[in-house]
Amino acid sequence: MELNEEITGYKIEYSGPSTIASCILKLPARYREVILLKYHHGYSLKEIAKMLEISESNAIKLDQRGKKKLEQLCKEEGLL
Amino acid sequence: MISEELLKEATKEANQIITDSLPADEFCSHEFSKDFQNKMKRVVRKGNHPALYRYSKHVASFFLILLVGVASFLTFNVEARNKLWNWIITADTYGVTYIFKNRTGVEDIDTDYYLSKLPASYQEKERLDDFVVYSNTDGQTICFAYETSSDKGVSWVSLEDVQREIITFNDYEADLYTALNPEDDSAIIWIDPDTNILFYISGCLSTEELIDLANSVAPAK
Repeated sequence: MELNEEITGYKIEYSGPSTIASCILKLPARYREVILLKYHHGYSLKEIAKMLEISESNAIKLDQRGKKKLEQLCKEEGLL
Repeated sequence: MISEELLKEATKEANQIITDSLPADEFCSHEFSKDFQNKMKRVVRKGNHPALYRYSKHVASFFLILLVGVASFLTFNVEARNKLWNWIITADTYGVTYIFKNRTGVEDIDTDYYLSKLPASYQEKERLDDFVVYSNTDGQTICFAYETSSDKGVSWVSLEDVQREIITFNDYEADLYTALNPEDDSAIIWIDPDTNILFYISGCLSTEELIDLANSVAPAK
């Protein structure tokens, strides 16, 4: 696996087995950031909004849409 | 449905994969470019100015209009085309990302700009390099910013809750972003092809007021 810097952030290419984690790596960078910050690092959406310089409502939307996209990716991979 | 517990486990694993992929410290000896170091100085300065920093969220809409705006501009002005190749804009359903990509042959701009004609009762409140906040006695604010080639920044913005429209003023083709909620800020963005500078103005203002302000942008003496 290697990290490629792209305009939209870091696109992570992962060649391992399909898991929910690998689907997280396929998410658009902004969704991935929010999901990692919230569910792994334990920050609140209010704190994430402050860190990313976005409104709290935007952080909520990114979290919701990120999870929705993740579920979609997991379904495509036959994980759900 | 992915449970929160499952998400926590998966994000832990994903984070580990990302961490493992990073190069070891011994491979990270790198002398950063002058551009990068200057950018970091700005970040530190912003960190030291929290009062002003909070306004930076308004800059987000700065980058909204570039997608259509630049494409139209390239068609519109052949001479500007070569210069504008330096602006790279990508967009998806959710937002727009903008970066000044190529500085080759581009001279740094070392000029400050300001709004020379403000609405009644507005005064400059705070200035941080290329980001200026004006406010009136009611506490309403106007944000004015400009992005030069030397900034070389990357920004991302959500494409929600705004309506985009291309307009022309003073021979510039600009994108106007009108907030769907009248209480939110609207914005106007355009590129000066001679200087490669992106200009941004936002505020809870009408289209006419935004255009008047855009026409009043002038270099500081």
